[in-house]
Amino acid sequence: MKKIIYFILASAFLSSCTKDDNEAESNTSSIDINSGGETTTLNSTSLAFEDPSANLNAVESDLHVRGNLAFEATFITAPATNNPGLGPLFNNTGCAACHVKNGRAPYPNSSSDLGGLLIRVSMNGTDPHGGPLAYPGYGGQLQNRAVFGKAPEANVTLSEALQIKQFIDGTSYELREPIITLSNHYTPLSSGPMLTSPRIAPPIIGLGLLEAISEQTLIAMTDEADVNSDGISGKLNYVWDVQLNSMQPGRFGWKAGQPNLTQSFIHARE
Amino acid sequence: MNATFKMLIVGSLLFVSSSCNKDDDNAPTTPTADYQPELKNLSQLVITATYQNLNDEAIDLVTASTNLKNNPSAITLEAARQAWRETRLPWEQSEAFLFGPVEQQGIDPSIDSWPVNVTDLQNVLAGTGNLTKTYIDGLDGTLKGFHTIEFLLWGTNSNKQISDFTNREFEYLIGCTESLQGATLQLYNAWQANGQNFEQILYDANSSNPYYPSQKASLQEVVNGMIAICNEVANGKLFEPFSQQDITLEESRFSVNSKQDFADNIRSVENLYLGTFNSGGNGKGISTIIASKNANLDAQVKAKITSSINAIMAIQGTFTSAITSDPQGVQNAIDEVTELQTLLQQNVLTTVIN
Repeated sequence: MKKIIYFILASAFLSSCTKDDNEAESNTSSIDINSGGETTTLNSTSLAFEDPSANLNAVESDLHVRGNLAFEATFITAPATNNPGLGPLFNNTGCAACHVKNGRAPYPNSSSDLGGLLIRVSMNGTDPHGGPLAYPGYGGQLQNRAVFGKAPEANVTLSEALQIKQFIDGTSYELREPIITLSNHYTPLSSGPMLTSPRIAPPIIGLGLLEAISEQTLIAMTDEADVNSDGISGKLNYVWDVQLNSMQPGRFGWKAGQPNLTQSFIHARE
Repeated sequence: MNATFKMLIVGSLLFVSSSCNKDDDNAPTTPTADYQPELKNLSQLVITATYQNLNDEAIDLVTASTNLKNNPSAITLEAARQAWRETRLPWEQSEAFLFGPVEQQGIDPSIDSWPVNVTDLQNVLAGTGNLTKTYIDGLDGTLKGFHTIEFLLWGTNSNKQISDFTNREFEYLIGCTESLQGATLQLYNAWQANGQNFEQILYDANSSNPYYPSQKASLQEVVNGMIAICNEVANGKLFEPFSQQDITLEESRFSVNSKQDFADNIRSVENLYLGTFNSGGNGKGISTIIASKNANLDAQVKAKITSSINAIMAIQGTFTSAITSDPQGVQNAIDEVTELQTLLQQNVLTTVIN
């Protein structure tokens, strides 16, 4: 429950600040508007997250255009000439269908169309590398859609409960807590309770830069006990890197569950 | 509004303002001149008017599809196809402003998903489900919208005859056009003043506007929409089938409407630039802003819009045949639209927001 509330708070924060985050251009002199150095683009519109870095050369720009076309492609059921391979189970028909305009997915309007919201599933315990334990027959991510004539892994019903909370000064506020209910499982849950956790598709901006940060830099920034008293504490989340066959710092996903972009990308397409 | 909710709002605002102080300081400044006349005209008489026209045409498409089922003949088939083309036109002329509700409310996939999921479509048609609007509303975007309707009306090879239609296809066609019209109505209502009034959000830019804190932000949104569709036409719609020599990558191939589609996309740019749509609009648009600052640039943009449209329409024969038979014509169209994109990106955008 607590996690979900934090999730909503984080979402509220992100949506509240999206507009301002993009307002890079300004005549005020106190802040360097080129905060991204040569990669900076000045775009305050709904398309801002679609801008590539400003300093790409012609070959890199071409790569970006080609990659973006693939990202925005819509996939369909095989056999098909174009973009076959959808299903039989799936979460969405393409990358951009969840990561709308490269940004965070909107909160779904109804259970019938979860859009960019997916449900992680697991069972009690951890896998050999300390990660979530996939639920037998379901894996780590519920496929709530299926091509015509096939049944999804389960039907998802999304409802809301109102949470009334108080700030430290006593001011009350309300949060809408999403309640996830699964039904019509395609196979019985014979391995005990299924744990669920909702995930809204995150923005995908700046990920290459994040990947370029060295592990040493990340280690130097850890401050688990808030020794520097800045009110922020944190440690690295080490996760299993399939290619390196070792534990590496997690960098991607809401819980930093993936160590690099390749693995993160493959995981998102599961 | 109860007290708790008021507190919630106050709390939220405090939260936002304290969290975003840095960015608030960095908000764009309103241009010295007042561009609300331009923004109002673009919002109301270009964008909302385009969506109104789209919805009107979609209603006619439902009627034409119903006529086709009730009186199947070559004549009613052509009438339905013509109704599709006439509905397609305002949609393509809306693609320079793919921002706001069309994206926020996830409407686009219900209208213009491509490619068509032919495998699933055949399975749906072979099934027994009642092919109502509600049923089709619930299907994935690749099983409804313009291109599914196009596929049903023309067939894969654009040569479908009236005798080829099954009763289930007629039913699917009607349900599909009704579903499309539901989406166009949702879109129109989202913009119009009597609905959710997004048109005012775009033109009434001010510091308390949740989307556009300044006129500069609104104008930047408009011009970026123009740039985005030029990019899509040049690098996607024209370049992809051409560079890969693959006609199956061509959008609106079934109806042989591709060149018209691409030209209408650039006309969408033109409508925003000139502040007109069909016979409407008072002419206040991006052009009037540019002309007041740089008359040469204004003339250059107008000329490049015209030459881009002309280059697309000058591609010989159908686009399907031209990707092999008229490479020069296709390349010329790509070059023209790319030059327009560059002009908008490097000159118009900076002139508008500075």
